[in-house]
Amino acid sequence: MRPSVRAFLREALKDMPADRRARSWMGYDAEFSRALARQGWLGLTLPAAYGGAGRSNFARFVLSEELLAAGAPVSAHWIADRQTAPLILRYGSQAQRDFYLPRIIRGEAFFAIGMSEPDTGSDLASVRTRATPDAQGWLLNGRKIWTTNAHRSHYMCALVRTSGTPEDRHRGLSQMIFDLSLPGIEIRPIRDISGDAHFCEVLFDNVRLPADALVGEEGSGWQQVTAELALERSGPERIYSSMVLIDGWLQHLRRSADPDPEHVRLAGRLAGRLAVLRGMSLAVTQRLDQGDDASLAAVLVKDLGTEFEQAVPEWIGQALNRGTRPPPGETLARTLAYLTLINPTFSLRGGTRHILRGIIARELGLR
Amino acid sequence: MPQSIQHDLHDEFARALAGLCPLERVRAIESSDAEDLAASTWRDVDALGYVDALTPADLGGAGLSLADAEGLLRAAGAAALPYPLADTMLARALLRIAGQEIPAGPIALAEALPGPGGLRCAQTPGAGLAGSFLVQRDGCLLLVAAPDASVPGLFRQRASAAPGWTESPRIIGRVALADDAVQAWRNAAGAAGMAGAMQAVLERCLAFVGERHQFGRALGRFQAIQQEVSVLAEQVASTAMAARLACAGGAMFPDASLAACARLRAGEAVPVVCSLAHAIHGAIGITEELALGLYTTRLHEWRAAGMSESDCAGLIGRQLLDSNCETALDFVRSLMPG
Repeated sequence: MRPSVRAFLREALKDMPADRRARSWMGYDAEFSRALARQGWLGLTLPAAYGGAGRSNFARFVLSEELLAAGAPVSAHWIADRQTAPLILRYGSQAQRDFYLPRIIRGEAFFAIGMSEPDTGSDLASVRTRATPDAQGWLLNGRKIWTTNAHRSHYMCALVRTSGTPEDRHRGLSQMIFDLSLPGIEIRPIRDISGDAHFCEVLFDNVRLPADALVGEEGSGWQQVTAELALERSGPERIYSSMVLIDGWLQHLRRSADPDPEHVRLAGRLAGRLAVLRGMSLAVTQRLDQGDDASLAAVLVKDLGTEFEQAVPEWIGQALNRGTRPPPGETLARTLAYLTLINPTFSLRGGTRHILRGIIARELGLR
Repeated sequence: MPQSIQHDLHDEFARALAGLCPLERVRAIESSDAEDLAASTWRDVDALGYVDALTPADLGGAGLSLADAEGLLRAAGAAALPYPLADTMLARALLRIAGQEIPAGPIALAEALPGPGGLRCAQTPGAGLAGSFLVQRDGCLLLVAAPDASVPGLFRQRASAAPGWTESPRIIGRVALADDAVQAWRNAAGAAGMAGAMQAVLERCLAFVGERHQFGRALGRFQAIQQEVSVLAEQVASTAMAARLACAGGAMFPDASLAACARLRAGEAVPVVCSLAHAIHGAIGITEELALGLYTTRLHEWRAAGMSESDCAGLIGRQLLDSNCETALDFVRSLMPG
C-alpha cells in the first residue's frame, strides 16, 4: 500500500510548506481526514462489518509511517482512529459499535480524549469529574484540561468518577462517550507558545448524558484507560515528529558540493538512531500482531523516540548555526523555529517522560 | 522462526557457560597468571561446538548465519566470557572455507598498525588469551602465532593486549578479505557482545536495587533510582535491537551501514549504561569484588578498541548522502531487512 499512500500524499500536500507540515499529528484538516477516509485508510485494522479494511497492524504501521514522515495533517481523525475506535470495538456495546465505528471510519466522527484535569494532571486515578447516575442516565459535572481538539471534535471519550471518592483511586472510575455539542459543555481553546490552539479546557455544568454514554463496565474505567494508553504508545508517532525538519535539512545539506564533515556525521547519527528506533517500533507492531503483550516494548520505544525527536531540532539547530553556506531558506528556518518551541510537548502528550519511566520501572519489577 | 533459533541458541549457550565459566572463573582467568585454567576452560567451551557455528556444515561446522549466531555472541557477552569468541568463530569459518589448517586455541582478530620493521597491532580485546592471530592488513588476513611479548591491555591487562612482533612473524595462513567487510563484521558482532554485557549489567542493577536497603526501604523503591534504571533499560533494549538488525542480513557479512548503526548505538550506550550502573551501585560497584566491574571494564574496552562513533556516523552519513533516497525514512527503509 506504500506507493498508493505516497502518490496520494504527494498530490494532497503539494502546496503545504514544510513549516506547516512540521505540525505532523498536531496539524488539523478535517477535509484531509475525510479524503483519507474516502481512500479507505481510516479504521484500517477494523472489521469489514463496520466498514473497516480488516488489515494487519503492519499495514497500519506503513500507513502511519508514511503520513507522519510526510507531515500530513492527521490530527482531526488521529485519536479516534488510534485509540477510541479500538476501545469501542473491545469494550463497547453492539449498539455503540454500530453507531460510532462506521462514523469514525467515514471521517464523520472526530474524538477528543478527556483525561487530565486542572488539579490532577498526570494522576488520572484522582480525577474529580463526576457522572452521577439518575433515572434518565448520568449528570456530568467537572472539568478536563489539555484536551486536544475538543473545540473541533464531535465527541469526547472521558475518564470520570461514577462512584466513590477520589480517595478510592482506581475504583469507581468509568469511561463515557458523549456529544460535545450537548448543553452545559463549555470548551475553551488554550493557545500554545507557538501561536496554535490545539488543546482546550472543557467545563461540564450539569450535562445530561444518556444511560448509554457509559462504555464498558461501570467501575472499569481504569483498566480500560490503561489498555487505551497502551494503544497510544504502540505506533510510530514517537519517532517521526521531527522528520519534516530532518528531510528539509538533508535537502539543504545536499545543495552543498562539499558538505562539512561534521554535518555528514550528523546526518549519519540521525539515520542511525532512526533505523534502531524504527526496528524497535516494528517489533512492537509484531508483538501486537501476534497478540503478545507489548506494554514494556512500547513504553521503551516511546521514551527513546521522544528523546530523539527532541534532540533533532537541537542538533540541526547547532549545525545550521555553524555559519553554513548557503544559509538555510526561510521555510527550513521556520520549521526549525517551530520544532524548537514545541518539542517539549513530545514527551508530555499521552503520559510524561517521568510517568513512562515509572511504568518501565514497574514492568521491571521495581514497583 | 529464525528468532526462536536465536533464543534457543542463546539460552543453551548461556546455561552451558554458567556451568563451565562462571564469573569467579572469569575473574581468575583475567586477573591471575592462570594459563592452565585459561586453556582448560577454553577447551571445555570449545567442546560444546558453538565456536564452529559459522563454519559451513560440509566443512564440519554448524553452518549458521550471523543472524542465528547473534544469540551466541550475546550470551558470551552476558557471561563475560574472557576469550575472543566472535573473532575465533569468524577465523575458523574463513580458514576452513579457504581450506587451511585451524590452529588450536582462541584466535583474535587484530588490526595491524603502520610502521617499519616487525609487526605491531592495535589494542585487541582477548589478545592476551589468544593462541594465534588473524592480522588485518591491506585487504588480507594473515594468520600468525601469538608473540612472546605484547603491550598489556589498557582495560584488561592480562586478557587483552596490543600484540607486537619485533621480527616479521611467520605467516601460517592467509585469507583475502576486504577491510570494509572485516570492519562491518566486527561492528555487528561486537555490538551483539556489548548488548549481552549490557543486559547483564541491567540484571545486576535490578538485583542490587531489590536487595540493598537505604533509609528503611529497598533502593528500587526510590523514584530517583527507578528513573535511572528505566533509562538504563532503554539503552540496553535499543543496543540489542541495533545488534539484531545488523546481524539479521542472513549472510556472514552484514551490511556496512547497518553494522555501523549498531556500533554507533552500542558505543553511545556504553558511557550511559556504565555511569548509571555505577551511580546506582555506589562505592561497592567499583570494588574488584563485585562482578559489575567485570562488565563495565569490558564495555569500555570494546568501545575503545573498535570503530569510533564519529567514524560510524560519518560512514552512515556518506551512504545517506550518496544514496538517491529522497528522505531519511527511505534511506533507513533501504537498509532494513524485510
